[in-house]
Amino acid sequence: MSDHKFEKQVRQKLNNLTLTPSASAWVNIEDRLRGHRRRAPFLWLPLLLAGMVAGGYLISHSGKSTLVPKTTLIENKAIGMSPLATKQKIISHKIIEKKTANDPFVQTPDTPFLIKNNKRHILSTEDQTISASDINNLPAPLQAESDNDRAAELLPAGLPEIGGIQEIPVKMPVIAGEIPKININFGKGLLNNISSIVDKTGVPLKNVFILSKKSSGSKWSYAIDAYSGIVAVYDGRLASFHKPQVEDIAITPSQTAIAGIYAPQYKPSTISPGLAFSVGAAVKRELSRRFSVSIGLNYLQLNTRSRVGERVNSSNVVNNGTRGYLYVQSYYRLDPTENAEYKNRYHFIEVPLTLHTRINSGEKLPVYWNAGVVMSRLLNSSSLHFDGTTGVYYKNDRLLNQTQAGVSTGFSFVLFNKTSYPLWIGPSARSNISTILKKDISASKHFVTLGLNVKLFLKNNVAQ
Amino acid sequence: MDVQRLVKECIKGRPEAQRQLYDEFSELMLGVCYRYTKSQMDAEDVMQEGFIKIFRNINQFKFEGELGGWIRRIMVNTAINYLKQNRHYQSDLSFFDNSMHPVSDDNPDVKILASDLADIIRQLPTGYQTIFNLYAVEGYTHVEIGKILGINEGTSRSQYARARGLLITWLEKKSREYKINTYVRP
Repeated sequence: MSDHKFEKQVRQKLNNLTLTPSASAWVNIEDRLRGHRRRAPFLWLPLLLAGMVAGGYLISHSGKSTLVPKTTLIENKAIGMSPLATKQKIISHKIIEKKTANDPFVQTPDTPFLIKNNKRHILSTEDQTISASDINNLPAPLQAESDNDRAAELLPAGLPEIGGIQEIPVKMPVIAGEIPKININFGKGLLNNISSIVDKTGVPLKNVFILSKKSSGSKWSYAIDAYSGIVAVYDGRLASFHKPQVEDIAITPSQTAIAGIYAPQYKPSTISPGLAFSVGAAVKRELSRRFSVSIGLNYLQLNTRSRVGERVNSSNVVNNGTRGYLYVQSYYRLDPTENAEYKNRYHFIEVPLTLHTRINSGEKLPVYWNAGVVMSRLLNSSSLHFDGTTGVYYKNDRLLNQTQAGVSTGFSFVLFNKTSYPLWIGPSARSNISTILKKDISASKHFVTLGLNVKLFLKNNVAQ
Repeated sequence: MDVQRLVKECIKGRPEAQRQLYDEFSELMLGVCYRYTKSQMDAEDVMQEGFIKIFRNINQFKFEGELGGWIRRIMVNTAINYLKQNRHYQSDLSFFDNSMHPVSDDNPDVKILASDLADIIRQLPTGYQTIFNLYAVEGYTHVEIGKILGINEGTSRSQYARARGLLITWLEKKSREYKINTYVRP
């Protein structure tokens, strides 16, 4: 500070200079402050997850008959009818679409119909003979809730041959207009109820089953894979788990081993956790009823936050540790009064290999424990390193470990398991074994992530 | 509300506390911003930006110094960033100007009003204006100014000497006008 008389007078006069701001100044500040607060971080995350869940649900329930009271009308005499495999006269139906504003799920007894896409399709009647081969042309099986346990009570002593028809008198209560879907899994086939025989008043008389060849069900299934959570940098010390420091590149591991060789003049910012997310595709292979394995290809982005001073767009020479000195075109200052938040962004392409182990036997909500390894390759990064000798943050991707290996674990709860689009959702944690920086720079810091993993399978490999 | 409580309330994001802090410091800080810019509108822009930074980072104020000093440092840094980022100022912010402005070792009395003095400083080329403000008013050393502006210490020193010389010339001229005005219109 100058002690000259002139400077003293200037300082005295100008230090107390006051001007009145316009009224709009505070309004602008307040607008920006409140606006800033409204942009809550990760607000979109639950929305994204909700959207994915809803999307999965819609996909799994679209394009199918929601309720198909697949009804074959017979004449009154048909109560004692012979097996359908021997030709006989019954009344079959053609589908006539008719839009209706009425509740489509209310059946009118003498007007058979099926419901598709929330529209009522009136079935016209005409005389026609039907054979076993015609069965395939009947409307699709019902989509009401499965009731395998009750259906088991209806099973005949001798099962039909594959493709054979089995009539079973109605024993279980039938909700008006609705015949529960029954898919019974046998060793040699799958028993589906394909129709119900009702009299003209719509009263169900018999259920008609067909034993179809059990679909081998491809053991492969494909999924859209998404992950979202937080990532933190762990430097091996639990005490500083929440606030490890940006690596001072000027301090090399060999220097830290010799105390006192280097005393940094400046202290770098801490690193705060940030958002981690990945999106990609996966393919899963069933190994057994309990085990399956999946492999994927994902884009992964990890974000951590540190605080830096202003950006300077001019060249500078920085201490690049074991790599000598580096000429940088731009850098960030270390300035405690001007420390804006900086996002260190890491872009990876990764290949996760995961073993899924089923830990329950329930069909409604299967639960899996997942464990695996992940290999990832760095595509690009905006991360900053620190030079403690000059107090400068700078970018140099060559200091980063380009290939990262990690281990992962988590649980998945399978929603919509009975549909063609089961949704696996559950917590997942991951720790990279590889360090963020190359070993000659730093051997301590690596990424750990915790978040929610969602897999939407596009094809269920469970035979229906 | 004492300073400690005011800061704590601001950390919580309480609008009334933020308003109180603004009311307390805005006039003084606009005066600071005014000295670094060329127009009142720019000065207000800088002040607004500065207060936003203050409110977003006030949790970093550790009560180790005066709140006013901390706020002032943020305002000054914001003003310098503004000059660097604003095209109107960038061209005028060169520190490698070889113009041979007079250098003066005089220590004349400053007998004009603070606002007039600020207006004269604002007429300096932006580079001179910035270094003069940082050295003469804020009290930074030339080493610190070099770091802040990304120039070396010698450049800061020579730029300041020229700024000072030019300012003294203008001040003497202004003082003569003062005397004339005083004589004509007693």
